[in-house]
Amino acid sequence: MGEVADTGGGGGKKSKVRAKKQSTRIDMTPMVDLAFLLLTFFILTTTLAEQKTLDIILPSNEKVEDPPKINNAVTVILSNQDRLFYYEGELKTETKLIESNYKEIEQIIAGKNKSVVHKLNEYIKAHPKADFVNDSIAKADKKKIQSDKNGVFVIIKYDSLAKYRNTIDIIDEMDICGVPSGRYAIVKDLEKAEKVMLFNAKNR
Amino acid sequence: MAEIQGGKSPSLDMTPMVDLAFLLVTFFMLTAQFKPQEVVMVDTPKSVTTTEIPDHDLFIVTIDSVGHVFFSMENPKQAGQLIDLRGQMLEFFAGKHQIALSNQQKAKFSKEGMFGVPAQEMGAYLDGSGEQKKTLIDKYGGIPYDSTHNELFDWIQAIQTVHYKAKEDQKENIAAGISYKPKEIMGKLKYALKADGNANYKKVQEVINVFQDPQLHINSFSLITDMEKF
Repeated sequence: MGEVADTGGGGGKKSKVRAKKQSTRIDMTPMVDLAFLLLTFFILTTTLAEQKTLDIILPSNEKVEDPPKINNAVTVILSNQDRLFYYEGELKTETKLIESNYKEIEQIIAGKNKSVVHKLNEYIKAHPKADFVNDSIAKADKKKIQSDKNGVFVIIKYDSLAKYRNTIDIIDEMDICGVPSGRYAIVKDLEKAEKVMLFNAKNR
Repeated sequence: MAEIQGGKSPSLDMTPMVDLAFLLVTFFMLTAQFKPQEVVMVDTPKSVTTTEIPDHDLFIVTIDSVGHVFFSMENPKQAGQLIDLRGQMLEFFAGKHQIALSNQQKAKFSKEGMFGVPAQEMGAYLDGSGEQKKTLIDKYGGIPYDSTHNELFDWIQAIQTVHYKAKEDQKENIAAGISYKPKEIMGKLKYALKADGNANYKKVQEVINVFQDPQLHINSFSLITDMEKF
């Protein structure tokens, strides 16, 4: 690098001006740095935005059929600030709304759905390799077990302040508790008695 | 090349590594698809589901946190050509609402991502810049979907009509001997609802009510959620 040809002063015959021989190598470090920076960036950004869907099938007529076994029904009412209330069975004058949360309701619904969960576990024991996502036979069997009439029937209601997030959470809980889409229903309107109960329960 | 004098040089040949790095960079740069600039930000709730979003024939209705409604529909690609479903939709919708749009505005509409202004503001919206679009949306609040003034219904009817027609056209083309990639063959039109977690459920239910209108008859659809990480 540092050598400088002595050009001397006079311009004598012997001191030929030679073209400086430069190295053909360039420092590629910054380029490689940049390449890896881009590589890291693209690797990290391509996998992060992952969205999934919850498929739901609604009954075509607006009326929800009455649950076949009314004492195995749970009515869940969603409200603001992620609050959630429920009562079991039929709506009667002495029915009390119980305040709960999403963790607890999972236990309650799974508890009421015990017979189905039990059968499902036995099925899994009998067919340890059952693939409920891709195998259509296993999927049909699962559906058959879940549609058992002794299973829980969940009625989901909401007041005017409930958020969309709450609904997704509760549908998700249905999935976790093994309640299939035919065994729960989102019902649009609160009955008058329920409105009163909800008001009282919230201000308790 | 390098002269090695005496002991071994500590530098090693990084050429293959750098080659590979550039190969990967090129691959990721070419395959990456950036999320299109969206008019509104929607923070979807999380769920444990593992079902993938269908990647074609999907009509998405977006609801933001204050209940403004938007729709998006991608133009399908067939045999290397884009089928301008959006343009046909607009034609159908504009005909019904008797609004006149210039060709330039129509072309812009075909390239839009999410769309959500009332019919009478459409011209101004399509001409506007990003900033102006935002103000228009804030001012007029998405596509009207109340029972007296239900434009969402009209849009869905528009997509159902043009999607059906495009599907029939494709069937004819297939019968005539044009071959398509399996991915390009149009299926049933699917619907998805992408709502902000903080949107009031009542608003979401109103949109579902539009879906379930006896004339539209959409009882099966997807709710788009983020994946919950365990």
